[in-house]
Amino acid sequence: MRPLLLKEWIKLRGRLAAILLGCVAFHLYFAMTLRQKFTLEHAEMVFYQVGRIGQNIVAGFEYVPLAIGALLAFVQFAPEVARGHLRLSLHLPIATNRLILAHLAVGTAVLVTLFALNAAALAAIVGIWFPAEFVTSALSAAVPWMVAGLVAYFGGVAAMLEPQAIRRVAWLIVTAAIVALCHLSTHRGAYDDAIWGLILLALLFVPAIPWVARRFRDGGGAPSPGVGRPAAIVLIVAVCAIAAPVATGTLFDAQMEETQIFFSPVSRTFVYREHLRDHEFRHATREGADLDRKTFQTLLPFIYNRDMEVWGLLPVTIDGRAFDRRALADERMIFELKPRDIADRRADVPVYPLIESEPGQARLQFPEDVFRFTAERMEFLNVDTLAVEAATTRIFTEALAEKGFAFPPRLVEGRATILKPFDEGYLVVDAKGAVFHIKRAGGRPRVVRTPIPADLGIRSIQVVENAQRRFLGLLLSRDGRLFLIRNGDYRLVPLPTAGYVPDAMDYKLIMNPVAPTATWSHAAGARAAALAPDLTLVDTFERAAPERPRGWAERVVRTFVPFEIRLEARGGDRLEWSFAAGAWTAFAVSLGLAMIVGGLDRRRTSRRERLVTVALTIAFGMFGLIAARLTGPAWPERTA
Amino acid sequence: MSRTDEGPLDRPIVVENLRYAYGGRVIHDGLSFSVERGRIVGLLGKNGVGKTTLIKLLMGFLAPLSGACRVLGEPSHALPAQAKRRIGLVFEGHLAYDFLSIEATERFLSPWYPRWRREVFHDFMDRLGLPPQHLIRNMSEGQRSQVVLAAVLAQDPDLLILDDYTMGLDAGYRRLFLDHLVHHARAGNKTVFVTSHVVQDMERLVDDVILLRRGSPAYLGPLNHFMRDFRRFRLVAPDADLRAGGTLHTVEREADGTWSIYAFHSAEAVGATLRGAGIDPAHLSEVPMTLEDAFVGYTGSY
Repeated sequence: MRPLLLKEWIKLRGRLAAILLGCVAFHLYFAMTLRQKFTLEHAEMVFYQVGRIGQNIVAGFEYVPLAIGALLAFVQFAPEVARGHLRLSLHLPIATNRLILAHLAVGTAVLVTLFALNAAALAAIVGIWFPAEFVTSALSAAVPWMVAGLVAYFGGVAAMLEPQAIRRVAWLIVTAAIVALCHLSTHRGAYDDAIWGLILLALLFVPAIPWVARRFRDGGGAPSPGVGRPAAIVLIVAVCAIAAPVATGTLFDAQMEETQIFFSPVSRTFVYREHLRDHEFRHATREGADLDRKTFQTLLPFIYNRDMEVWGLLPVTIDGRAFDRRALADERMIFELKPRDIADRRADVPVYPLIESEPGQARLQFPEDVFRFTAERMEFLNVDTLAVEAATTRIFTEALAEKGFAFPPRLVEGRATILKPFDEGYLVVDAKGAVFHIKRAGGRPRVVRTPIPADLGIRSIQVVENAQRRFLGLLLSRDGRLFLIRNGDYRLVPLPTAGYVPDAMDYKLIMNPVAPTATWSHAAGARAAALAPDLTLVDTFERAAPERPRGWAERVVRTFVPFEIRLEARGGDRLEWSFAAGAWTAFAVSLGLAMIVGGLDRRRTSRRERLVTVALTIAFGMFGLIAARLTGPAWPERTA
Repeated sequence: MSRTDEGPLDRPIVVENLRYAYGGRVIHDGLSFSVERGRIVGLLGKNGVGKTTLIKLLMGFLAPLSGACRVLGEPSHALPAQAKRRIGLVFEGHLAYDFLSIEATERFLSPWYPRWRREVFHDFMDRLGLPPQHLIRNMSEGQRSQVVLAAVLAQDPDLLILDDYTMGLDAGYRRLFLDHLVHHARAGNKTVFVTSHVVQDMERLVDDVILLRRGSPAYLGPLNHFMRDFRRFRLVAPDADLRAGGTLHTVEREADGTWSIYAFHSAEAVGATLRGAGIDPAHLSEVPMTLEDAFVGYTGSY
């Protein structure tokens, strides 16, 4: 292998220097833009934008690994395929597979080294202005981009080695599709549950590339045996299955809105709004009476009070009490918990601002420090210097210790924004499960050990700072129970949750003094519970979402789609893989296609190849047929 | 040169009933021949008759659809490493990694070949008069051909396969290349299988020829037998309507109105064929010819 390493080193050294130079240029640019950001804005605001809003700290870097992967494939293999130079190496006394895998190993090692250098540069630059938690977050965000770089390298190599033009295009399409999957989201943690699938797809290239190289050696002739072709088939079938829903979605899928159910405090019945098609909605009562939009809105004065005021319908009398617009708006309170809000579905940077809750002015203001928890203290850092604020750290740590706080905490929940009427600080679950309420008041710690049971098993807390100050927020337990946390005494008020799936549904509690309503919904339908003012259950109603109408063109196209693989964010920012079988007609069409193709190929291909084509078409429908065609003999075989 | 296989040592190349086709276009069908050890064999044929395909099959860059193509006793398409070590390939256009220097070329290649002959490589390079750090990409075509030949001969292979070594070389470098090749092949009892578009070079180089002709079986035999048996006649018969067939292998009408007749037969036999066709052979005479004349006569002019 040493002679091969020597050759690769001589071939690549100049080009690698150029790539490295490009990387240095990018990181200089990145450092300058970050510096400029801190010059133009206060550091605490930048921390808020990056840490809380989720602004991409390394914008532009997502394309760096991709460019490196594609460039490396080009500079390593272009000199090999030009005039068929690779034949020189293919004649060396070494097996073709080992030779190609050795080249790939060199390329992968170079790629990993370049990625590591880039990651180190990234960490060093981010670390100038941000604490380590931000560095970790930035590096983890870069992982799918590096997978994209790896795919670009492997795919680029496959495309360059491929001897036939149409298949070269196919390799580029397969590569572009997987790369696109790696760039679906820049949200932190978006790929935490999905990266395995992308890595698996990338690894399928490894056996496929020596197989392509053997086809290069053979001038694209008959396919060679081994695992390379099955790997290429799996890649092509997977990409077809991933591309199919994107294509049909682009062509046909109108976004369907979820059904909304409310309990009308006026008519004392459930009313709902459901999406039928395009811009068409249906408004109706639980009993089935259709409503026009205006009537629907007048039944919900706590929600549509502004419209009602315009229409001159206010004040409105409900249960003998008159409400004008101001009263309607003030009495309404909304608590909402979406899957993306749940603590273990978020990817927070665990560095938080503790806003002064008694600012002595109308507006809240971000402090010039941020805090983080370590194993033994609540540590405050100056946002300008990143130095530990020793005094603040000491007084807060002591205040917590005084109340029996066990470090490190399991959960830190709060709303780090100044766009709210007041600040309630953070609800923090300590190492033993006890819940502490931590605020900064007059620069001093105000710590309350709440009576919330330590054995409740808290999954997430949604702090809500509402002007009414009746409730502190929502608490979700690990067993799916949901509670309102009462302000003052921290008493937990249970909410109805029958059929509620926190990971997939939006939960909304619309509070008003007459008839509070809880609703939880997802794409398949919605459920609502009417509550008494003391939040006891009065009535429930459930409605399935109407089926989306499909035109004839969509139905025809879908008969060719045997199954779909989706990578999408359902309920939050986290991307998840899902598999859906197509209609049975797709398999009938596949079977028919297999028979037709088998018949047509009778005189052109070998019996074995016909069997492969038919088997793949039966198994994977149209996708299998495409895969068989793109991996079979480059030209029609003659039966020997 | 033989049509039978007597073992890998005596017959480094054995082709039996070889069939190859690109889709429906059949290139070789039923081709059989073998090459004896120590012989220099030239593969000749007009463009498109399958020379490159046959070379690719022998080099292992194509797999036969049916039949056998064995090199050093192994299927050419699946040569084990130990067989590859004993085969030297010179690709069309003197293919070499042009980003390597002379020195790096030796460092890259020599570890693969236990019999690497450093003195051969350096002898060639000394003659070239270029510094060891000189990059191949900065060489002329002739200089590169010398590096390629030096590298392949330094491997000390038992079998050399050369695909159109003449491409891009002027007469001087062609002669130099040939001289070196013949010297080393003869000295080391090497087997050489070569193809070239410059037929006259073959006359100085090869022991045996394989002549490919579209639609006909290949001619296989020693060059001197071919030149002895294949003859050219001149016939003055302006009004005759001659066709190939019988003893007449090829007939060509020359610009001066005379006929050139090529045949594997004597003047008497050819004369008899002409008489049978109602043509007076009184003005039939045998004329000397070069290998190039014979090649054109055998394969037909365009």
